[in-house]
Amino acid sequence: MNEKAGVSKELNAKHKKILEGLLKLPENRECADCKTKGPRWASVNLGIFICMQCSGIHRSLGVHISKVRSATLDTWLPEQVTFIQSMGNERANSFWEAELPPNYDRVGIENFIRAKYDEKRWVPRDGNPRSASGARDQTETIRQSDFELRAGQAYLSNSRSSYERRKDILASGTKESISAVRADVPPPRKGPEQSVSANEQGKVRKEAEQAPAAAAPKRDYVTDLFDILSMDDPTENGSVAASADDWAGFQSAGVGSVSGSDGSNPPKSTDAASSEMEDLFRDMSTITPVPVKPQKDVKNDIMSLFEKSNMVSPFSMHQHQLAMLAQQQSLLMAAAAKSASGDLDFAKALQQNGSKSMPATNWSNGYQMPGLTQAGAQQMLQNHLQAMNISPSYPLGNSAPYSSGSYYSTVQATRTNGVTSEGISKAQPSPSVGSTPTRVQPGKDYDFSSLTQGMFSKG
Amino acid sequence: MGIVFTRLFSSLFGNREARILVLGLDNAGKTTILYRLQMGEVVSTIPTIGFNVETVQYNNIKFQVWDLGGQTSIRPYWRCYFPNTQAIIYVVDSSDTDRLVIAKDEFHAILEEEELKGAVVLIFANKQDLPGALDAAAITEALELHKIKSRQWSIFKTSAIKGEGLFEGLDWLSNTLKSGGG
Repeated sequence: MNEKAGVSKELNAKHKKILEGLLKLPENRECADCKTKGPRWASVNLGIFICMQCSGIHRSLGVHISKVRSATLDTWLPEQVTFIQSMGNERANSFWEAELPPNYDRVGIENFIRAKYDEKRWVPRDGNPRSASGARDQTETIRQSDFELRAGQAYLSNSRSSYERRKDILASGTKESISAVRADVPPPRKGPEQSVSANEQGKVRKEAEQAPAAAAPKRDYVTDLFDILSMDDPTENGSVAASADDWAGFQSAGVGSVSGSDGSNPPKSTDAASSEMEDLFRDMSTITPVPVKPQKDVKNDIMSLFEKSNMVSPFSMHQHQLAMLAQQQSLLMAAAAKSASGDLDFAKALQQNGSKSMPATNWSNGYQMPGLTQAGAQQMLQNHLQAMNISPSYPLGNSAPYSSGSYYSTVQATRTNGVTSEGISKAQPSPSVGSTPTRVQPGKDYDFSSLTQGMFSKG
Repeated sequence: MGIVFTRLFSSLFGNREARILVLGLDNAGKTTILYRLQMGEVVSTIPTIGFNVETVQYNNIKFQVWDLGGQTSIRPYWRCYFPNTQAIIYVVDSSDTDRLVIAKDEFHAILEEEELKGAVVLIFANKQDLPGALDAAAITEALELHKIKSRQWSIFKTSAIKGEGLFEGLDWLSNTLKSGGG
């Protein structure tokens, strides 16, 4: 009825398949930002796969910087799928992390992500030997346009014709498209680091040029459309604008006359490029697949996703906690059994246990929290722990008495995160007709509601 | 001590309760709004798969606020939460202009629901702090709010990050609910 009316079920299934395939590529097996294994989220305009934690940070940047979608829970538009196929983590990072110091400490991932995409701190300074700062801005602009999917960009939608057009453009010299884009996009950079030595510039350029080449191998198995692309890749690899940016192509087709000013440069860039080519491919062959655990077959149900995302959470030091939890579980179960009311101490105990660990979302247990009976609550706790779910989420989330600010500053707002999953039908009874009384009533029995009120009156 | 007092207080003055659903596309800011309302703080969130539920006490009304995940494939599950709902807070990312059409479609699909016939609707044109955010009038237009029939509704410009507009919205909500709107 509604969303993405253009995306049929079949197309969506096809997209899912493509995305699953992309996620199995070595480069996409870890989060583009924090390197956590098994990312299941993506930034569709940056063309990268990221983990859930980083997706939260990307979302906070705003859609003008990053548009986050789930690789499994969201419907993708064809151009978004096509773009991420052409991009991927490796190629994207060759741009966004071009100037990143090798052993950069990524502690404080939020700051890292903001610096990377918002401030664009590590994008290539310049591939152009000329020192005029204006020119530099422009080349960066065009590069960035290569690395982002813009709204309204008919990405390869009419592949054949745009491909031809692009070929023409590329044949007639790289700089054409550069100047063409310049005509259209204002240079966004306010780069403080304008003085880059020619040496560095060369290096950067190398990295930037590496991108198209690096992207080539993964196109093997994708759609016919991309076969066309990859065919044309090796020959045009060298040109800076070789990325499949039809948008640039369109523009330059229209504004081709602007090209005159820079027309003298293309030979140089192609030379440099062809000399790099060998290196590039050698590099590529040395890319060893990271020792990732093989992805289990991707099930469609939400549950399996989140088991995974829990496991890959940078915060879930689950290996370590497993032993600890085993103890705690028995301890808590004893407590639960004893205090029939599942009272405050119980919740506190749970919280303390939880607060040692970092946020793990509690969906992995598959239990709904609304309308819990007491027995249900206990059972849920048990399941919490069994599922290694160390999040301090107390089942009666709305009335749990432990919401302190400091807690939230470290623990993400997932504490009462419930589950709508395969078991959603289970959920139905609870929020439905009978639920409001049940929900509120236990609160009174447990004395929770009044506790919460107390909080309000104090705070 | 405070607990006892609050209890006494609420028993004397008889708190009302209202069940509120916070709906909207993914990354509209629902979870951030929920916790901003409940704790007065900006929390860092991750995508909500499932729901969050909190109680927010405001203007003598105890709002039981359900924040449901907005990813495409879990939107169909919203309906499981519709019964007994007095109000919908529909959150829109005002800067995500590309998806306003989708936001509109989802919105009007919700209004069609029989189980929500009696619910009042509060729209938050959120993320006003971001560049390119549309104002309330533009969002009203984009969501085609004028098509709403026989239902009380209102729209507020909000920024959950800055904490602007949220409680104005709750003011409207509590007044509307107290006057029997829900």
